[in-house]
Amino acid sequence: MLFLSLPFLLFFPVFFLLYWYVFDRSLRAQNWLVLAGSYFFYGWWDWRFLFLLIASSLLNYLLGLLLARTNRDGYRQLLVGVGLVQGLGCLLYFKYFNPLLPLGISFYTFKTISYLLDIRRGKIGPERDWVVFFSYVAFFPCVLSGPIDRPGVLLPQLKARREFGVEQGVDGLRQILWGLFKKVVIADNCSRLSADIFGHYATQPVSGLVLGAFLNTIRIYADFSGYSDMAIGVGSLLGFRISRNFHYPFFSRNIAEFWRRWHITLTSWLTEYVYLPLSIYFRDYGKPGQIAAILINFALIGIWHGPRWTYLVFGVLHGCYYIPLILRGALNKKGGTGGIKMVGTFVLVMLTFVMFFSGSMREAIGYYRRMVSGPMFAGFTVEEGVSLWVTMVSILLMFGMEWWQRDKEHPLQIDGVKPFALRLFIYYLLLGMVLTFGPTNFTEFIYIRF
Amino acid sequence: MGRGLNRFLLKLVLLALPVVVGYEILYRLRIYPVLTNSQLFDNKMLDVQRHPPGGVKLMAMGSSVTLYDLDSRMLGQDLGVTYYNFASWGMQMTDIGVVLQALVKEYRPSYVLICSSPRDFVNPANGSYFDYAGTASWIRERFPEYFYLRNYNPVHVLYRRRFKSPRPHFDAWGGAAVDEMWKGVVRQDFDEHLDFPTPGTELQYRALDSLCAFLRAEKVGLIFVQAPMEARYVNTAARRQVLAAHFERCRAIVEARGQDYLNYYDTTVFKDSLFADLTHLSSAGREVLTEKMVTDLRRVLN
Repeated sequence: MLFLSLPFLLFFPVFFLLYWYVFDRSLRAQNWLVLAGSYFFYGWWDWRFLFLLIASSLLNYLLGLLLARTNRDGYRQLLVGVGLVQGLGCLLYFKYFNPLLPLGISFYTFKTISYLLDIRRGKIGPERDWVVFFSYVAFFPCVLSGPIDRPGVLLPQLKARREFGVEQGVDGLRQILWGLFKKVVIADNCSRLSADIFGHYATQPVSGLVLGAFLNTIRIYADFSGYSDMAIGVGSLLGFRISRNFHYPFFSRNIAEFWRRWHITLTSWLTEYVYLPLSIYFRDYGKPGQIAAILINFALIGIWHGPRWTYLVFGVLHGCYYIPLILRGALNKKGGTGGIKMVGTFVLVMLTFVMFFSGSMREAIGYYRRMVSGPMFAGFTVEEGVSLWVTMVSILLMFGMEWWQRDKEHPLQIDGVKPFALRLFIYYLLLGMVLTFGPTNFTEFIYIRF
Repeated sequence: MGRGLNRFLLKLVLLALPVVVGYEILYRLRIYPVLTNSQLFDNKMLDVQRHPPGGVKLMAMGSSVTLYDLDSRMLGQDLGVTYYNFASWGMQMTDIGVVLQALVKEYRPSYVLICSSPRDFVNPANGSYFDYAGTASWIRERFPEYFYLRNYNPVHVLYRRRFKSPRPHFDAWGGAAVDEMWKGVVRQDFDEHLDFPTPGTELQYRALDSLCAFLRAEKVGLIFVQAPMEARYVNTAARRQVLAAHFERCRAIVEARGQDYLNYYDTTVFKDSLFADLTHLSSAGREVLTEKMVTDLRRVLN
């Protein structure tokens, strides 16, 4: 079941009312409902893969209990190893050797892996209530496309009594509206326009190719962050605080800052479980060791997306962009002020996303080659003028709101805006744009397939 | 908590209310929701729901041939039975069958009249008709606004469908004149000829058979009419042979289910001058056809 579908539109209000009006008397009953709702939500797409989700949850639940029972290091390592082999093995098999990928497999696998590793490191204890643990793995707002909440964040919330807070509920609704606007008005329109350009890149002038790269970059951001906003908003309506996944990444002043703001839950997951152990492993080699750790980390990000060379090159390129920062010792610095650095970082990211969106290396190289050798404007056409202008105005609106609200969790945290009528106007403006300028057919969320 | 939650939900409903009212206004302005892939069909069904034709003893159903080739006035007035034409462009036998299942239950006609050409037997089924007919009848009849949600389309698309797309003017019986469609359009079908059968044809024959069986089970008579076509559309002996085989197949299917089959394909009577295009009669042509048909229908209906 997807957020933008009629089944979800029917499912969620029923779930919400049951959750707060019928099952609110006991925490266990509420968690049972979360679990049942999550399985219903997940199984709606393909019930067969529900068994994989349940089996994975069961195995990791048992491994967690066994980990707590022993102090023998070798045995504990073996238990974690079993969990890693199962999780990564399934991920590898379905991503690389099976045409049908279970939705959200990456996201729940990352959750179970971090659960075992955190127990192994003593950061958390094992979860003994299986309903809580299974709900943590399958939690429906996040199961398909993240954010990847760590066990230390979500498990305590599942174990504590939840109260409906009007402020939190209102904030959740606003974030859903903002996500909806980004997904429906911006991402889906960008998708249609950029698909046309990418599909005929060989005949496009430079201006068309730049526009295509720009639209695709905006598209992936609006699509993925839009989904994350909706997931966080849905979580808020149920009384959960889900981790933030994007922090206005296009206002970054260097690539390291960009990755601290982009897909935050995955980046921080990889930093903790991949990059830091690698850094420690390579610590004797100084800066070359640090570069090696970064390159391996980003290569993994690349190949996580799927079995395509373009993904690997995309990851490695991003790793390479870190090299000057590491050599200058500026990895954790913010990069100073100034719009030029932001624009520079954006252009770098945008050009690299051409690699990400190309179907093959040949296509990517052809696109880049044409970008530097094609005519500037001759033959420039886009599918529909009206749609392009609406999309461009919407993108400007998005950036304007984000810049204005850059110190807030999301741009619709506008309690300070007075009078109330102005706030109301902003809500209806966004809703009106969603209902008026959306696409005829919604495109699938990009990261659902990863 | 309960009071806070109640207040929250109340506010939510109040905030959503203008959206609901907005869509109701769109509906009243005839900026209709999308029911199927066929804009013409959607408009006809929603117009019919707003202004129900009342009792329908003779129900015409089919593709553009049924829509254009029947003279509504002659069938509606001269035949002495209540009549309405529900036909729409591009419908295949599968689509006709699916929609008829819904319409027959709603209007309980005594007879269904299908005016057909081989073009009704060429394409695969259109899933959007299944979706429409599969929706509960009370929603289709009393709450068509539901389709704004069911088949979400942005308002600018609905607006374009309503005001920017050409559509024929329906007469009081749901019929339309083909001449209107060709006004200001230069015909480019002179090199087009019958290309039949297609990979979808067998499915359409099966759909015709199912349709006949359904009507028989519902005790509704079917009058299946082969419409005339321009002679040059079927310009070779091989094509004429294919056409004859098609007629024979249709006749066998229809008569095997105890229904009525009429064939008006006669190039000596329906000269090319009586046609607006390859498969649709001009106003003069449809008068000739309907006059002949009225005579035959009187016999069938009595």
